[in-house]
Amino acid sequence: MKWIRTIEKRLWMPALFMLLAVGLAACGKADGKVGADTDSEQAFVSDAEGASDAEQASDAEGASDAEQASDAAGASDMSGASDAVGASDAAGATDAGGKEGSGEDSDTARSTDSAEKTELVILAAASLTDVCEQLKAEYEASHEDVTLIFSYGSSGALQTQIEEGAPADLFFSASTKQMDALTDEDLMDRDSVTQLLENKVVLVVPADGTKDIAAFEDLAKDEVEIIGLGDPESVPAGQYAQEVFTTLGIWDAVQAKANLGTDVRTVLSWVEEGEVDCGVVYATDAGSTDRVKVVAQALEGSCKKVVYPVGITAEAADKAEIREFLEYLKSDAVLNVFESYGFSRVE
Amino acid sequence: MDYSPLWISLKVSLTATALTFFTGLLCAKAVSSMKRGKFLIDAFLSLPMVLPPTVVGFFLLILFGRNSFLGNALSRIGVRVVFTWQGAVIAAVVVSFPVMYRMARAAFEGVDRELVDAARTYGLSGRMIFFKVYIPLAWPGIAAGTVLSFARALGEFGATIMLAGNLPGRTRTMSVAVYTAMQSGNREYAYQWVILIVMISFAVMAAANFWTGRQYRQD
Repeated sequence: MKWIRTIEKRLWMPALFMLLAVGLAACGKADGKVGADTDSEQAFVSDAEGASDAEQASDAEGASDAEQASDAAGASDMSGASDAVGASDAAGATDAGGKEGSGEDSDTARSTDSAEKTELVILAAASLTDVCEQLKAEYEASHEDVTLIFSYGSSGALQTQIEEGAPADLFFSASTKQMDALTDEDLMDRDSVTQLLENKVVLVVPADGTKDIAAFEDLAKDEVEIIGLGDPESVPAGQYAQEVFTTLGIWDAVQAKANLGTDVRTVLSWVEEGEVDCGVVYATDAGSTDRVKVVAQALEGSCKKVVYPVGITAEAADKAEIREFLEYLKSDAVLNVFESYGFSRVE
Repeated sequence: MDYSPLWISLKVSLTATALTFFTGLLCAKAVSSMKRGKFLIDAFLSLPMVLPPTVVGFFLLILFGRNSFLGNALSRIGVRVVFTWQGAVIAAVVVSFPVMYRMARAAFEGVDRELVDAARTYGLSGRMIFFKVYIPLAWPGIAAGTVLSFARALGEFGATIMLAGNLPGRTRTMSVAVYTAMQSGNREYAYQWVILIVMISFAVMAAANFWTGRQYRQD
């Protein structure tokens, strides 16, 4: 039974990877069979093929490794085995490279290729994920020649990506700051930039909260012991909250009781769990859960408006398809969809 | 439930681990046999481990973006890195490389010098010594490094979302899926992925410990 020990001693790594890889290939194939209607899934399937290709390489690697090792049947002769690994790996790598090259069209994020589909790349703030996924499904159903590719992230990260030349046709930001910066750098098509949506700053309490909180002013009361806010240094929602309380003249009292979160979602979680008596978040956050209750909305003029601007990038300025999609976003029906997620129209 | 983040994660981290395995070993051997300037090279190679991943991602984005010389040259020959799964592999390789490299280097440096000298007196070439003395003796450390770098690649988030973006079905890995779900308030979806990540990472680490434990007992 020496060979079993050899396998145990030397080959558990390749074996583990082989197992993972085989599982991956099997599942990838199964997945491909189930759903290949939408283009993005097809792209994924072709990706999966690329992957299984790589796996074959790693299979080969494992196999040749096994052969060599059992030939050598000893602990010391690793040189031949490792050589074989190196060689088959290199072969696998070039193979995969060739595949990628040929599969380029379906693989890269943007191309108007022979498949007749136009791919539009939209960079959207992460808070827009759910509503954008819904709109993508609806839009693609009615526009069969267009594939919408969304990438989500913080608005600041998306700004950096556009600045560094990532392929993008449309930018949907959660704040005017990033949009203005890109417009000033001439990276946006100036005329297309629109202030599409507004989010409201609201005060929320736990759904089962017992404290008597009905307005922003109540937070100065002694009964309120701890308040969840985004850190005004880095979180926009915290900056808006600070403005509201400064306007009301109670910022010092509130600050003394404030627990500062690193993002607005953290604040929301605190309120949901009842860790804080109340918190300041956006209307869309409050609408995403039924475990919090909205008790007040920041008054008009007590803080800057939270506006979501959208615009076409300078490099996509000539694309008719993206203009059509932008018009679609501005349509009444779509704005109603946004409203169902807690956004408001810009007056 | 859409399982594509799982396959993308596995595909990316397996490819990345295969690449870090060889580059990590080569660099570890090269550095451990260096005589001067070792500490500088070592610090440079370990840098991605201590830098915040978003900084690494930002740097990679600048490097591979179309505004840079390299990015421009690559896009001329039709290679795209930004917003592709290959980009995610690059991000994962860069952040998981130091793990592999440091573990392998420690393993190489732990090899008994006398055995190496003995091999040399028998007339073995440097290459043979590497494969017949260093690799077998350092194998537990190398194996542990491989598993850890796989785990690191699997959990990679910051650099990935900067370089490869967050394209559902293309570059959205499990970690990125959790981020997206949390940001859009989709808690259940986030929990599902968190559970899956924990299970996979746990299984990988447990398997690694099990096998290395057995090896030591046999030796």
